[in-house]
Amino acid sequence: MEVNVSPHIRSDWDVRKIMLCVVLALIPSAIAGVYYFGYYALMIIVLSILSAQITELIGFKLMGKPVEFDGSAIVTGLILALILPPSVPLWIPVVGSAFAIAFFKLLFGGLGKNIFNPAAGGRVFLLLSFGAVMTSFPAPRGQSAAASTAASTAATTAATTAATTAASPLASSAAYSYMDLFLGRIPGSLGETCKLAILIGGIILIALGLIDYMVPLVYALTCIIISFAAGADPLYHLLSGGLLFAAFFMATDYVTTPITREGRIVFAIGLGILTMATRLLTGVESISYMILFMNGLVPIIDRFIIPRSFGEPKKVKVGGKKNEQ
Amino acid sequence: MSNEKVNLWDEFFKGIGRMNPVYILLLGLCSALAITTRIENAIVMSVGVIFCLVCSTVIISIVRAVVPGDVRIPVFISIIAGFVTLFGFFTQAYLPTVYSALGVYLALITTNCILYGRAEAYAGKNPILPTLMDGLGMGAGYSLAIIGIAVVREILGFGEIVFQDLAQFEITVLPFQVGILQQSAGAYIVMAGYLGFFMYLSKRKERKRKEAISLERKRMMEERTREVS
Repeated sequence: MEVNVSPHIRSDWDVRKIMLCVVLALIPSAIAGVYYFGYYALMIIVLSILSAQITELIGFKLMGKPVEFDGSAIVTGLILALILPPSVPLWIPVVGSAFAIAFFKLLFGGLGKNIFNPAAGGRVFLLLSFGAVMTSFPAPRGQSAAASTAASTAATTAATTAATTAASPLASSAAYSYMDLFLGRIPGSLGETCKLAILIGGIILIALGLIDYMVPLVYALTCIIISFAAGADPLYHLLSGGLLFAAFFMATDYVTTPITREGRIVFAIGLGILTMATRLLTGVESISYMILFMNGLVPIIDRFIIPRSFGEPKKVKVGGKKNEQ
Repeated sequence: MSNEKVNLWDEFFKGIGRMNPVYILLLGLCSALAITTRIENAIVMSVGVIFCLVCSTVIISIVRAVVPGDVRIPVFISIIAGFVTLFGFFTQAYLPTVYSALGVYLALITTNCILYGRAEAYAGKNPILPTLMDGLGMGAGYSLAIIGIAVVREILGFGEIVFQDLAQFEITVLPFQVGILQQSAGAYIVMAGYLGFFMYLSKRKERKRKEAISLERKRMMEERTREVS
């Protein structure tokens, strides 16, 4: 007879398979990005993925760990490429992915130990370091003539540093119809513009049971309620910027979000409040920063939201003395 | 005589290596993070810290016998603050650009943990000559540390080296700038890099020492078994 420690029930999902499915869910966005911004966008995606994977392999070698190929670096590289402006010079994705993997993942101990989302970290690093190239967005293919005149001044999507004088998503509200926003005929980050593709990817993930549908739902609802309360156009806010992309692919990261479902809902609400607060108060989009900020709060959320153990009486004081009962 | 000389050198070098204030003792970090944007600032800051550290610790060492233990901290502060003020006036008069760049951190040398720690932990208990060497060594360790950070931050962060007060030149080194290194976040990254490197070195040294000991033990065991047989 074989005696093992728990867990005894294993699912046939392993890291590699999950990551493969996430890549699959991201592919619609990538295709949309390539369609709107040309083969240059494809180059950015490929370079970003290659750089992430190579950095991870080199890192494993240097750290003396067994060289494993689990696909998580590919996901990081792909997500980072999709949240970059499609006109960046080609060294930007290379540097950004390498930095994201090396500093935000490997230095913390590798997959499962990184407290911050590597892709968001890589983007913030690029934004702080090379602000000029990171905040100019070219017009996509098929943009209507009226809209393209407004496009030069409007930074509808993606984070811009407070220093740059980007118009708020609201200021350019008249320039784009809801259909433009939904299909992605707006200037913006590579994979963030086409909301249709993001929704397809998100539905794939939810259907496979890989992400909790509550997180994007609560996040979106929080944003809608706040923008409604503030007198802004909720649908416009929902469809502009990186909100949906972050909701499906970054706020649902396994490693950098709370363990419990209640905790993840708190995380989503906090992220929604911060996103809308920065959008409405400062007029800039900065979801990457907010994701990093909420990542930093995850240990606190996990500390205060402790699930009830099976068989434990309902009223338990959460605190240090619990174990003495 | 020769024995004492060796000890003095040890007092000097421990500040640079074994007990480096920034990388091993983790003291004086605020200034190391704040003023290392330019090499020139770092150099002036180092000179200031060495000057204030050496002068004040030597004076403290001289007066240590007559200062009652209860009031030693106010006395130490007055002595340190005196030298810091002196250096502040000097910088304001002769190095105006650096003075404005250093800002409040110049005055804050008074509360720099290195000065304070050395006064409390060393100068208050030791004679003048070792204190002098200790102060010089600690100051040199601090200087090397912050100039090391400043070199990386100025070259990568600004892509150029600019001196305005100590000398006057401007060299463009790199065709690009990594903007994050101009900000405090970049200071943390560079500092963490250095810290990790020194941690790695000391760990490797420790491991080698242990390996040498175990090898030696093994050899002795073998010799003994050979003798027995």
